[in-house]
Amino acid sequence: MSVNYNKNSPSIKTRYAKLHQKENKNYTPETLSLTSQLLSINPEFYTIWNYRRQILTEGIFPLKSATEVNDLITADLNLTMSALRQNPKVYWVWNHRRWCLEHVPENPGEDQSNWRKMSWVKELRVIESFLDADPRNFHAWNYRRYVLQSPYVDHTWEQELNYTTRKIESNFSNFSAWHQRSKVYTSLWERGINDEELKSIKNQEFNLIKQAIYTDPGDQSIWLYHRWLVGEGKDEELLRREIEMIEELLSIEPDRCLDTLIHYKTLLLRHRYSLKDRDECITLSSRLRQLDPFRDGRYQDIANELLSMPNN
Amino acid sequence: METHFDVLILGTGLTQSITAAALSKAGHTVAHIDLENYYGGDQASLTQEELIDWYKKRPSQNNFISSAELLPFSRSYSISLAPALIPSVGPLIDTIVGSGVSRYGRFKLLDASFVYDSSQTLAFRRVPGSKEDIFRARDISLIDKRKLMRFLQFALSNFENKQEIGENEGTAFDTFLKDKFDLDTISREGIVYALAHCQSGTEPTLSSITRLRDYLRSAGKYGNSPFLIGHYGGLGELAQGFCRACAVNGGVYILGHKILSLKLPDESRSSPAAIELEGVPDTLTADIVIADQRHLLHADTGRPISSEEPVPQCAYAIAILNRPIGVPVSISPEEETKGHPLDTCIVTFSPGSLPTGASAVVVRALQVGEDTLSCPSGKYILYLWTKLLPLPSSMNSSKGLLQPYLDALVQPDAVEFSCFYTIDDVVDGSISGNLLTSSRTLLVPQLPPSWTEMGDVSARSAESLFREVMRLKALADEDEDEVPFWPPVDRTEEDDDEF
Repeated sequence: MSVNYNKNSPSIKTRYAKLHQKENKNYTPETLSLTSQLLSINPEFYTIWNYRRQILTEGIFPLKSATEVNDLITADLNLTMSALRQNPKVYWVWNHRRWCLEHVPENPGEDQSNWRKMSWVKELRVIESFLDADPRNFHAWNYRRYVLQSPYVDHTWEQELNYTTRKIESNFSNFSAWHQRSKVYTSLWERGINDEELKSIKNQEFNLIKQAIYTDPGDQSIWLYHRWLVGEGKDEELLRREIEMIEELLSIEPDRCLDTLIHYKTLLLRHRYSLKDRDECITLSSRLRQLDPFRDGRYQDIANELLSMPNN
Repeated sequence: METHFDVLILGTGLTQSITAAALSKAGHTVAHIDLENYYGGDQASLTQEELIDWYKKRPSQNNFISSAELLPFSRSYSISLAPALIPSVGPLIDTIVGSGVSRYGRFKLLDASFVYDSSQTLAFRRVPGSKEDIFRARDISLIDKRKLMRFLQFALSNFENKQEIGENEGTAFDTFLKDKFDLDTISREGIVYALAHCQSGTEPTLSSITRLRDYLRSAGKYGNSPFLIGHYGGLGELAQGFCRACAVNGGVYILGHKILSLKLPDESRSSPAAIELEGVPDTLTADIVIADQRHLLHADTGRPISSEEPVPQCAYAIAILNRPIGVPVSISPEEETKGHPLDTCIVTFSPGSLPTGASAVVVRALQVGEDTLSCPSGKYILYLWTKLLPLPSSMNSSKGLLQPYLDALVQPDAVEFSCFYTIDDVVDGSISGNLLTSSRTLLVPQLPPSWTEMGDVSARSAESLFREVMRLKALADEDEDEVPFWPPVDRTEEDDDEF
């Protein structure tokens, strides 16, 4: 089904005109139904999602019992589901889903099941199916982080780490999966970790990323994760070790990863300046200018910056 | 019963069955006969009892069977005479989907592929066939990972005009891998035998790497492996599915009746083929005959059959096991203890890799378990095959050749049943010279023994046969229209469940 983005198309125009009664705060089931029709034609029309939420909160929910509200929320979750199946990359649809989850009412006394817990737990499964279908959809990853932070969801950091491992193993060209990994580690380390443990985990990650680098050095996402692991390069030993690893790769894959090599060597220079190392970097940047003339200006800038480095 | 048909097809092997279904769907009347009372011919899926009966009909000089006693649940076994690995991209899968026969069957992916390596503690090395496999492998050095990946990327590309191929189209594939990609012995062994499925490292580069590319392109379509395996014994089940499709469109089936006489059609339409079957009162006639060698030889055509001894081409073994072969379950040793055994996997023994085995030929093993619904829970079927060298038959005992391999895969107490046999190639001259008197008899070519090629060759042969019949019909009817091999699948077609 093709989405009609044209605000001037007749079907949208008439319905939108009717909705303009919102100035009159017409929050009725009829206007709700109009929003449903509009959204099924064009789920990217965010004004209508906003209006729909207003209709529900101000016009409909106050008149309904908890069970009825829950049913309406469920209906809206289904509405977003069909919209997401058409296009899982629309911000407003994911936002509406969040709103639905946040407005699940508390179950009334007679019903023992916890509606809120049930909907959040189900949500984890829903987001997993979206990530199975497209493991590189950043909307889905964002949403996954949103679901995981809910108090109703029990999910340890180890489980999440394993999840990213599975996604990475099946296709490591997945920036979002690596990014998620870095987020898990960051929040873990913020809770407090001793230097030994940190070093050991980082070494494990360096080993993992090295497997990926040697399998496909052309993959962008793994280099980004590598840079995150190296950080500011304060650990000189680590920095030298990684530089050596790249230079070994360079020996069997000439002229690859030069940009990254210069970056790390520059970091090293900032901590321990030497003329020899600086000149090596300048030579590398000249090589890059030959290989990639399209970005000549950038490599020239790098060389200039190197030249202007202070002698410590 | 109607007694005249457009086409008479003898033998319900896969090729004939696909052709039958296609012809039926295209509106032709088909009579489909098989001497056996099961579908599938040489690709049939048999119960243990049917296998034992089948075995007993074969010349027994080089063959061996462990016992004729039936195992418990013997009827739950679907043993395939032609266990095939179906590439996820290729003519057979297109035919299965295009004909709608995919509705009748289910498939699963091959779980893993191994190469036998006596130097390893577990004796098996997993073969990496994709970027994912290479990344996850623990037993390959970084440099080797890079070289392997570089080669696989080349093999996936449009290499025909690339400089590495250049003058090397006919070069031995193994030499090419060493010289142009600097791959070590272990990597080369895996590529040549387990990824490209060559019979030897001297096979020419271009044909080998082209076949490899086909398989690499198949990987990832349904999952990490390029190959699908059909439930209930694979090709036999598929043959049956195509026969069902033919019957649904009006095809007539007669199984298990002896052929009393067969007259092949003359060139002119006024002298059609005629066949008399035991127990069937009417003589059936047809304008065109499609038949395999076995049925033509069986039928008493009054023409002399070659008196030359058949030449054994391949040796096979089938074993029923009470536990899986000892391959490592997972890629990393840490996962090893947690995993459950791999259900469906292949092991390739490169020439000389087994000290007690053959030094000049590849031996391949395929294990299937309960996930393929071919055997009861906890049991496994193991298939082994190899090509025979042209040696005197006394030196070509299938048991003598394959027993060491069986022993390398499982302990003797794991084997509940086994049989060893050879498949012979009937010398072609005996058929084509004497029996085929006109262009209206089409001979169905024998399928190659290779598990990975068998299915696609069958689909291509079927399409050729179909086109030939259409051509003969068009000449006769002066009909110019091009008929597609498979018209769009009719979603409202009702299945005849009494078939």
